[in-house]
Amino acid sequence: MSQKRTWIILIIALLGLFIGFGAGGYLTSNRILRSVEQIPASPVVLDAVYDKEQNQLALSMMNPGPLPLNLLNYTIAFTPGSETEEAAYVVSNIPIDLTIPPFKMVTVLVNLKEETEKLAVGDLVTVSVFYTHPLSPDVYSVIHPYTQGETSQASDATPTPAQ
Amino acid sequence: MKLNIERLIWSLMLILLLAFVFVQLAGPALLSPIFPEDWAFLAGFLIFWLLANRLLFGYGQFIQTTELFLADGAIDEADVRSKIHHPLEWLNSLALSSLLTVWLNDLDKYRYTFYASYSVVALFTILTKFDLLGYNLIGNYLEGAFWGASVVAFLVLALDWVAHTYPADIFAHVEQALAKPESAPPAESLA
Repeated sequence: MSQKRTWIILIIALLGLFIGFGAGGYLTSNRILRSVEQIPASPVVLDAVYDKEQNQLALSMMNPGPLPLNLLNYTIAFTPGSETEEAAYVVSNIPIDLTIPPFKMVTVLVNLKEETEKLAVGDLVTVSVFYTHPLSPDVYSVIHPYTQGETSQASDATPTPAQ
Repeated sequence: MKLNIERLIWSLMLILLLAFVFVQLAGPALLSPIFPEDWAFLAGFLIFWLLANRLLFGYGQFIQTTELFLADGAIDEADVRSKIHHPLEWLNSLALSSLLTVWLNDLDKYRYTFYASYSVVALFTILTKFDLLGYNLIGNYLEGAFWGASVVAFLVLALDWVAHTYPADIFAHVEQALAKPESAPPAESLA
């Protein structure tokens, strides 16, 4: 057996590893993609902005998953801070009927209770958004606490939402 | 006895390899559905195997016959001539060593056809990967066909490279055979 043939067999063995790696990677990645495409995500509130004139909150909600999510309705719970005379209130079951496409962002306008005062610094508005996804009839919720003003202390002032 | 053990070990390794490949292929096929990408892979593999079939068996038979020639074994010359697409009168005038190199060169037309088709598939796969053909739906399936074809191309390349090392050996063997009878004729019969 010639010396040249030994080297060729070594190079061919290495090449075979690469081609097996490529072909196996292609087949496996397609299988994994198919299963990952079936996992629904929970919407994420990226930003909340209070509009004083309209007396409403604008929530930027993102769907980080590959399945569309249908927002059904929301509930707001108002907890007064020290600088307001408004009483605590809860408004529930306000319909939205909005679908967030996969990997897209929508803005949900949350109206505060009519004929109430504008939010003062320290006021807490807890918004619960209820949603469904196509694979289950169940209703899920995402809860976003919004504190007016002091953004740096927002995490201290807000209670941990019950799971 | 030694040869039998060697043969046993080789067969055992082959059986183990085939069992491994079978489990790897049958496992996913039984546990989960076969996806369109898998069918694309299979289609690429089968179509390119069809293209490469003459090459694979041609190079395989060439290597076997040449090994036999180098070991001074008995070769059916008429069988070799029947595999070459050249006028029989010319082939009859050739010595066995020349006949073997002509056989190797005769497979070139299949080799170039195969490599050209493979290059076309590879080129279009790369174009779809870089999105140069615009948005198209077949890009992922084309890649499956490309990987299936790559497995066949790997076998062809391996046999091609190995087969093309043999002409030098044939030449050296003939040179040796021509040099020997004059100096020491009994040495050849002993070897």
